[in-house]
Amino acid sequence: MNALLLLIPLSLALFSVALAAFFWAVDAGQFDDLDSPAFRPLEDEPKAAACEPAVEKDR
Amino acid sequence: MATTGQELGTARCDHCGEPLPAAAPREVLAGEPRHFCCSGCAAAARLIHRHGLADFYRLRDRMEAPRPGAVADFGAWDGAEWLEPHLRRGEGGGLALTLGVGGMRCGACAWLIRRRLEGIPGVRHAAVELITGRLHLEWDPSRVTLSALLAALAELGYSPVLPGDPGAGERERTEHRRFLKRLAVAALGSMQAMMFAEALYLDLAGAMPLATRDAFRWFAFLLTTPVVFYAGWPFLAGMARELRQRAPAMDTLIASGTLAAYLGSLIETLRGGLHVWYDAAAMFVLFLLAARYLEWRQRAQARGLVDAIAGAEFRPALRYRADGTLEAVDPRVLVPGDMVLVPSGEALPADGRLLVDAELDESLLTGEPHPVARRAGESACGGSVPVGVAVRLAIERPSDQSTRATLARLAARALAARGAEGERAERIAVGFVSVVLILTLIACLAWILIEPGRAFEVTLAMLVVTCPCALTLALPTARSSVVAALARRGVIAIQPGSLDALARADHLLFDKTGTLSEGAPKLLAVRDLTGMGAEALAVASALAAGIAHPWRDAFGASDGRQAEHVRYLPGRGLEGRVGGTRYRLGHGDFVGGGDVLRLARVDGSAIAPIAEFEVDDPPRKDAAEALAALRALGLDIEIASGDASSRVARLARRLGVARWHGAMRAEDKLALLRKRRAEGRRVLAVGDGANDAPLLAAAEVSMALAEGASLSQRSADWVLLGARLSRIPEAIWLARRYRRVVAQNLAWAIGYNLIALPFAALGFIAPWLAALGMAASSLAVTANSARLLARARAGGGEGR
Repeated sequence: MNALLLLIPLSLALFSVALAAFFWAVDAGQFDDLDSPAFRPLEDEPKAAACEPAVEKDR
Repeated sequence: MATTGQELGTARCDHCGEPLPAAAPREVLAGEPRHFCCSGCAAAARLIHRHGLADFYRLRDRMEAPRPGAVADFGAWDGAEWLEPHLRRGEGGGLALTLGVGGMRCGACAWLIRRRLEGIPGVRHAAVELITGRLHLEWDPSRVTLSALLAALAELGYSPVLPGDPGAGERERTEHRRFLKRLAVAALGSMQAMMFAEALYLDLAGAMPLATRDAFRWFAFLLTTPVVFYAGWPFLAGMARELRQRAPAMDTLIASGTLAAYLGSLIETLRGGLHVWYDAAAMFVLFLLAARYLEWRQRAQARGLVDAIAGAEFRPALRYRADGTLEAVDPRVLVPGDMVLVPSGEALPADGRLLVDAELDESLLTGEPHPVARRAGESACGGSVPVGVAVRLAIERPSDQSTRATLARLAARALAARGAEGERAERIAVGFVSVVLILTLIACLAWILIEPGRAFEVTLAMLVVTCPCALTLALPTARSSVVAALARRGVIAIQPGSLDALARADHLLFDKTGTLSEGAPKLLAVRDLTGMGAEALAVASALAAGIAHPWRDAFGASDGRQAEHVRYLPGRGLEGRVGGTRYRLGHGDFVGGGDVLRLARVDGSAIAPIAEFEVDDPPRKDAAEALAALRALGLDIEIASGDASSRVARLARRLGVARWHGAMRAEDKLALLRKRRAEGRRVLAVGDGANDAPLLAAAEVSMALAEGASLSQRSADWVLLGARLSRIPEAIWLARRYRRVVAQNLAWAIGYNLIALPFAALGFIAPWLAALGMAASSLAVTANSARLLARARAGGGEGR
């Protein structure tokens, strides 16, 4: 019983922290676009262009 | 899928896919020779390669890119007054702006724009929303100007567009965030409350010490309070609103059930009574809030999709400055006297006087599929599109007084007059709720007199057992299911409340140009006059290849022949050299007489006709099929078009439609609608042009084609993607199914309550039994609604 007196307020405190963190994330705009991230894995990232590719004008 | 000119086989621009002219710019990029149709595409490709973004060509799934047009100076956007309402403060200083982007074709475009913009120093954040085509920009104004960013966008060929309503994006964002926060509180709170409730439930032997039991109850109270009052606020506020209007409906039912469970539990906790129902109150709020959120998201997505399809209201207009250079401005700031340049293929921003001869495609305004020739000095309407050559225009009326704006006002008036009809099912729900509340009140009072100890329990049992879920959950579920099923078939709901009207429609009013017909002239027949045979067609396609004119699509790709020195003379036609010989393609004396489209060879001053082409606007491939399916559903078909009567008659004959009207203006179509309504018919109007907007707004239920004018889409209840007419009978069939399911749900709800309510009123049903009954009933009703989601491939009708 004594354990519960400690554990329950502790879990409520954790619960509040979790909720506060979620609220912060929402306000920071992390959940604004829930559709586009689903397409991200489908995009290929190009190999890093180490230097500018040679561009010649041919006229 | 072919993504380069070489792969396509014919001579096409490597960037945008348009046919190549004779002197095509050539560049060697990444070690390969590339050909482009113009210097704009060449510049865009060079830019893409220079910034290491050449993967764009590999990523894209179709051979198309927007063609960079006259890149104007966006300087007018910096610090512009009309931009103020759209600008926001960015996170961490700086400015933020949400724009529409015209010309995005697929995910690769979104990727390209994002990578290009984020590479510019001073840009904090550039996010492109794929589904809605919106660009969210955040930048530091002290390091880079907005005009520089917009120029970067335009260099790639995309056009920045201001969304019509500056506040809408912001409002939607705020509402979305509020929903998420409420859902989080509801979910976490109800799970925690359930934890305590479980402990209390499992105490079957009643062995829990009272102190513990009370402690648990108070904890549950602590957790349920924010759920009921913060997460459940929309329902409480909704109930207050409904009671003020004396029209109790869903919100009243939900809120009263929740409050009853909550307050009752509080009283029992204080009294030390037998049962508490905190978890019921919390779960109630959670599930119904989740249903509401899903519904809201669906509607927001539909709105976003329509905005993206429409390409948003405003394209920047190209205005001439005093020194002759061009600047890009919001068309709303144009005043009479301004001179603008309108590239071919783009709409005139406002009514004005033409400064050059031109041919204008006025089909979205009048329904005429063939371009109309106008001379310099004549007036032209905002919204019409020049073909062949760019047009210089002197503005005569500000854009809010243009013809298009007048049509928009007519449509808005009609929409307002239609008013909030509401579905019949909702009206029944209102009646039901009122009856239940009155009966509950009576029973409550009766019990207070007879045996006050049980009064509250009975009241709670009555409110809970009446299964508000039959209405509050099942109706939205049914509606969401149908809306989702329709969206999968390419029919987007702008006004989901019009499902009922869609099911009850018995008369169809179709527009012709762009709706039943393709809207663009197609080559129907070739009459060979001199025996040149296929040569004539090849010459004609070569001539038509270089211009933005409906003929280019009608004649198709050339066989590699190039035409040189091609000139387009508005009102007359094309002239150019193919293989050394001069040819003309056009009408009238220009090609030796007659008013049929002709190809003629020019030798000095002699004009020798070679072939005649029959070009007309054919019906869509699935039009006949769709009309047959619609007749099978018991609907009458009528055509009302702005096009010439002879052409309408021809189409009507081909499609077997008995009643048709030609040469109709927007007002005439409205008059026809009123006539049919007076006859007692329920009209479904289908159209695509700006001149259809008033009709679409006024009809009981209406559908606009995604390829049509943005104004028509804003005035309609449904938007049809991909111009698949065969989806219309499918949509009607689904809407009728929806009505049947809703009727079934209502019948069940009423029947179940007729039995359960009296039992509850007489005290035979304990609250836990009531909760069980409610859960079982809700499940049955929701499962019934979910049937609508099923992919009925061959479900008894046109499900395809």
